[in-house]
Amino acid sequence: MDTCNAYISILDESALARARWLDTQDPSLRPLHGIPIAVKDNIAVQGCRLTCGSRMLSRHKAPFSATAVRRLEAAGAVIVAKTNMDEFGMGSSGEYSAFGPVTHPVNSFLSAGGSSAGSAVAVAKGDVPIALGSDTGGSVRQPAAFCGIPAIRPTYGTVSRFGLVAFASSMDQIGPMTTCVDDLKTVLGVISGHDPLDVTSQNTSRRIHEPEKLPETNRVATVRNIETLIREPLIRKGMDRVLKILAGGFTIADPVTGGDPEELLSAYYVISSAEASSNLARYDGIRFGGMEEKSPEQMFSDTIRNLRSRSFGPEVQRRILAGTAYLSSGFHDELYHRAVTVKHHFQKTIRDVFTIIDLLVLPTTPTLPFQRGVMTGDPVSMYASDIFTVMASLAGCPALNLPVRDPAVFPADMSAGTVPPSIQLIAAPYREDLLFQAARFLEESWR
Amino acid sequence: MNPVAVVGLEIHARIQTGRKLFCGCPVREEAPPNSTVCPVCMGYPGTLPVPDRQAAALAIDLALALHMTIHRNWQFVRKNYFYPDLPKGYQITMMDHPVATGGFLQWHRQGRAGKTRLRRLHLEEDAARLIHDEPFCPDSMTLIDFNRCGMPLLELVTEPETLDVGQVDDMLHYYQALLRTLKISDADMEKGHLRIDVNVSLPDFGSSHENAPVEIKNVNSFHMIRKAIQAEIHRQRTLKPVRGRVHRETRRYNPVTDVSEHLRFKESLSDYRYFPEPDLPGIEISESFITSRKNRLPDPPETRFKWLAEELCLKKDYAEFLSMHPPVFDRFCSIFQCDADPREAAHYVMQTERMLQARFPEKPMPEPSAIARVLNAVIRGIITRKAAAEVCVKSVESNGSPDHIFEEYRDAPQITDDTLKTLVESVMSGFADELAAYQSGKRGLFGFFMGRILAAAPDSIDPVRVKAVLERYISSNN
Repeated sequence: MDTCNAYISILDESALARARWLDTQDPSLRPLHGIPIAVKDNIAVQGCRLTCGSRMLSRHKAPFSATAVRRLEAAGAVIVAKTNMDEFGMGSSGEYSAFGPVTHPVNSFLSAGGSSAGSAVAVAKGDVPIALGSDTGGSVRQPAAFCGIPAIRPTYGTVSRFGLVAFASSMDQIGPMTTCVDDLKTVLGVISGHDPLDVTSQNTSRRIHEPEKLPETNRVATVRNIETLIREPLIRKGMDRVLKILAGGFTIADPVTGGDPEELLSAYYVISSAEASSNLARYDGIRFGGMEEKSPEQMFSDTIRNLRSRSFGPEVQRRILAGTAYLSSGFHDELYHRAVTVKHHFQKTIRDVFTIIDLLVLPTTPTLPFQRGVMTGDPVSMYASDIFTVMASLAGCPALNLPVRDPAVFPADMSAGTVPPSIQLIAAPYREDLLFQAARFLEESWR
Repeated sequence: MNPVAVVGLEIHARIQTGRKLFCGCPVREEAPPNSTVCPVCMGYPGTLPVPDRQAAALAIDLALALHMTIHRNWQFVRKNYFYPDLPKGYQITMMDHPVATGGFLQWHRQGRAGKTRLRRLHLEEDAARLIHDEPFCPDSMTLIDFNRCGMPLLELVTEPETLDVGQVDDMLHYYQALLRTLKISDADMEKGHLRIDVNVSLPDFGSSHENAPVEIKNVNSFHMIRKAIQAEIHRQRTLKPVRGRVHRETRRYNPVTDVSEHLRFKESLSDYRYFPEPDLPGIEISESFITSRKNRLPDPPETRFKWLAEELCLKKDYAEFLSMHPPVFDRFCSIFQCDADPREAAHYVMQTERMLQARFPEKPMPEPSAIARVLNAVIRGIITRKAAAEVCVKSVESNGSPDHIFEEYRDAPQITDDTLKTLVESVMSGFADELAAYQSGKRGLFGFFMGRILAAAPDSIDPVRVKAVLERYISSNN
């Protein structure tokens, strides 16, 4: 039963047919043989609807599969469902979907986070062991934190974006969401690597394997002056506990100075909205999805104006309008260009930081899951919930969300109706190996 | 005298890579509408552009031929606007980091010459074709053919210069010949391979002329460009005393009324919201790639003309024609390389063969070596030019070799095979060393032997017979 409205399409027929075929095959040949996987509905699966949670694409079927999906299937996986999401990935609460809001698995009044809300819920509920999400400014990590599961946003370029419907092309990245860190590593190993269909993809498969280096030679630090931004005491407690555990294996260094989080948040929203305004210009209802009835009397411009006003949700329209303004002459230098400068400056800062330390520990979110409905009327507060996740997005760094299931922070008797706090581990580009090493160290400590 | 104006051109050439710029779709002239399309060029959600290396290579070729500064870092940008011919809602083009900047086009045509300074050269994708006024098109409807969408274009922008209409015409003809010579584009204006926007302002506007250029679109032939510029000069001249100022605007030339019509003012020009294409981060062009293109670049028409006119001493109009028509030039070269006399070869490709192609459009043309033999017979007075042309007509008509038909046209007295054999032996006895060299691989000496024997033989001798006897002599002395 889809009690949380986590799914847009269930692929029962094709999944069963594929499972039956796999039953006739040798299971040792494929690393994900017969594993059911849910895929966010902005990632193409051939022949299946690809809605992006939008009315605009409610009737669009993908004529091809995303490279990540093809690689999962080649590894033996069975795609069983397409998951609900904030429209085109824009939203941090799972509520901006044309197919209705996603609800939290432990408490239906809570938000499951977003935008990969359905994928997070699918794994948290135990429907599937693995789901794919996509992360532009935190859309994999934030819902994973709200639902208490591990997830990773890989280095930009690790996973091909071919077949991922673009939101902000310079930051979009597909990431796995699973029940344990080992599974993250396995899935990332399967879906990563250069793809001739995406010129921004890199050959990274070698780098996912863990290093020979001992953990104690790796230096861990947090970022200075972020305490005031953490609005939930339990998350602060989780951070302290994680640093304490890591001290038992890693070298803890002094907190480092990063960029100004507020400034980075603004830069993220300017760049992502600007790119989105261009990426979403193609939805005119002529070639796919869209146009429900013919309107021969109308002019082209009226037709698409009406269609776009009717078929995009409020948040998507807000971002398209804002993004269009940011790129317009008169605002271009003051907003878009300045945001890109902030981004480049921050990338340099982060490069310097990772010459001093190896791993950053940050909260994933400033709060625990918030009530549904409280943020939808207040977009700026909603944007603020991304304050810790946009850093890795702007820097192009890999970032891993890990729920702190430590008994000292989250005792077993608390678990009914609540979720553990989550922390985020960030490493230099292409150092996913360090993230997996530290995350597994933590996971084993509270097992 | 031709009217003069400050003219700047934006010339779009479709380049012949055989495929679209950012996907593998074939570029086929005669394909049915919307048949050479794929999810990438249709802008389907989830698709990404992958640039074509061959397009980059041709762009570099053109930049080299135009003496431009080739940039080592190219950056594609998105030009955003809504129009039904643009499936993604933006066109992928270039702005601040194009293929090349600067340089000049050194043109010459029919004895006139000039040098046009260039501003920039960039690669971009073409838009779809909109069809409104064809008979099969329902009333008030527009049909879209996405076949053209994503085809590769090279846009060349010239610096505005004071030119007369004839100079613009000459320059464009030369540029067309250059594109064909370098095998960059078929540059057929009728098929839309070459599309030109013209910016016109009057030179007597003093220093402010660049503030008021009027852009004229929809000029689809060289003839129309002449007419459009003339009409625009006339319009601006007669307009001047009335309103005092030429507005910066875009106009469309109407060939029926011979007047340009207002489309939009540049002041209210739509804002294209350019930004770097995030799907295509900067493209680096290596020095070795540029060098490899430089080494295989064909000579430009200018150099070909000099070679034809000065080294081969062809008449100027022959040299002009050959240098401006690459397929005819290539045919000329293949016949010339078979030791044909250059003047006869030029006359043949420009007169006889054009007539043959017109009369027998389906039939193959004779082998270059056979033509060379016929032409050499003309030189030595064995047959007349008229007879040579008839030989060629008959051979094409009968699908035969000119060598056989040639026999019928020889009217000179024959010498016997024995006499010829003795002649060949006596001449060749003086070249024993050369014969040894020939047999150790210096095959080029065959022509030398032929020349010596023909010089010693009576003028009426048929070189085909000499060749046969010489070949027999060489093989028997091996």
